[in-house]
Amino acid sequence: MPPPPDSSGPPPQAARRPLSAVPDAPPEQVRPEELMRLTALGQEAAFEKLYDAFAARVFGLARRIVRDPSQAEEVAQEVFLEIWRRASRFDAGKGSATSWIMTLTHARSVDRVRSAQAATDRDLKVAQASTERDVDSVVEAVESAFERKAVQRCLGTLTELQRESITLAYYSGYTYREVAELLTAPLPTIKTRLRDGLIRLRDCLGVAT
Amino acid sequence: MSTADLHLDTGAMALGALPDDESEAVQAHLQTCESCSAELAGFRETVAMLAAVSAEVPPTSLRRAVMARIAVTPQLPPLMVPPVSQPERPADLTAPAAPAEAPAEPPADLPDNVVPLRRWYRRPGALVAAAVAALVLGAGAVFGINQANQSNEVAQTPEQCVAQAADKQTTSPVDGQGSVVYAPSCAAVTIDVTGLPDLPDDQTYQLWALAGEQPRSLDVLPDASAGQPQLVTKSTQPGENAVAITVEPAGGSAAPTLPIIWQAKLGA
Repeated sequence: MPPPPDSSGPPPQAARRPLSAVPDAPPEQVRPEELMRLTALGQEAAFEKLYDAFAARVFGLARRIVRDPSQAEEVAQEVFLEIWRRASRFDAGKGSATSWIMTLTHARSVDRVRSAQAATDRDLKVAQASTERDVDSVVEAVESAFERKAVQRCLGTLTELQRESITLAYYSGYTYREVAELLTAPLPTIKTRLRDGLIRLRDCLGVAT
Repeated sequence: MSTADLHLDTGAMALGALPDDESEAVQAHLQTCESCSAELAGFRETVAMLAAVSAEVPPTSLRRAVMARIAVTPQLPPLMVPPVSQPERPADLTAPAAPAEAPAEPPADLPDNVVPLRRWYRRPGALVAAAVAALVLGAGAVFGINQANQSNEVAQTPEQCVAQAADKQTTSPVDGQGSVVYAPSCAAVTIDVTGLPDLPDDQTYQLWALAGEQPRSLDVLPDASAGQPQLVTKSTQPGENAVAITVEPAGGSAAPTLPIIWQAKLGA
């Protein structure tokens, strides 16, 4: 029990030092927005850091959507090339770098599926089963391991119907009309589910709006 | 299409699930609907986090291919916004992206009683280390439950100190019930937690103090976890500016698990 606080000032600084068994905090990481800015200046080293920070998320999302690993690799390569080329167009005032990069990844992955797809009908059952998969195969080293845990937990707070609709739209890359068709639900119902589900996710994840 | 429908479209749009032939109308609507575009922005940040779940380490060949290609790929110049009533100047090809100075967090549009907490899990390693250290060090600094004992004893308990402090400031949680009375002169805070739902036996509410983005565990809240009001007084450390509550496995965690279900600033 420390001495009771008095009004003479803050407790001694020494009390705030971590125990020796606890490793020092790693050096401050550069924010992705700053890496984007430096990439826009043509700094390959900054781009490389950006790659390291996002490769697992970009490749993983592409793979989840296009399913074929070699195609996912192609999509990821396109995405990173586009990040390099378009870095100067990124506007941090309009959203985070993470959002910009993942939106790009999602769009390019869906493009790939749609262009290659016309003939191929993907199996809905496989898509649904994939909701739960991969969790263990995902690398713990990913910078966002903590975030992943939070997202999984928050996905668990959705209703089954909300989760199903969001999963089909996002991880399987379906339009809301296709989701409605697959789930034999009216279009406005699906729109509402997607929106209500995102509201719940947003609030659960503490995303500031 | 009715306006009500367009309001609903933000979800599908953020998820990339709006067909091209519909997104144009929604884009137009967003120009005029401020709440819709704010909602869409929040949804986009939310959706971006979904990608954390599917993360998967790519083959090393990807890195080599990407770095080889960018080495021979030119970059696009920034989009120039022509200055109002000034002649347009040639684009400066080396100029950084428009917001060269990325806005420092917290974003300006946050209500001033909201402490942005998303940054917590951006640096999990540092967090865990800091929180573990804080837990160990903080364990001795736990004071008892306030019995509302307003006696005039000379030797004050921290809760008495807070209750009688001239500089005490009361704040309310951002979203939820209860109150927070912070007294800088006592280096202590009295937190009244009310109205939190009963938790299953294997979970507990845990209280954290925040110094900017750095959490420090204050205690678990057994009464609140059982659905009862709980009043606690805790010592604070310099730099701490908010308190927050998360749901953790029984016994508490070394580092906070999201979501934050309750938070309040220390002081007005």
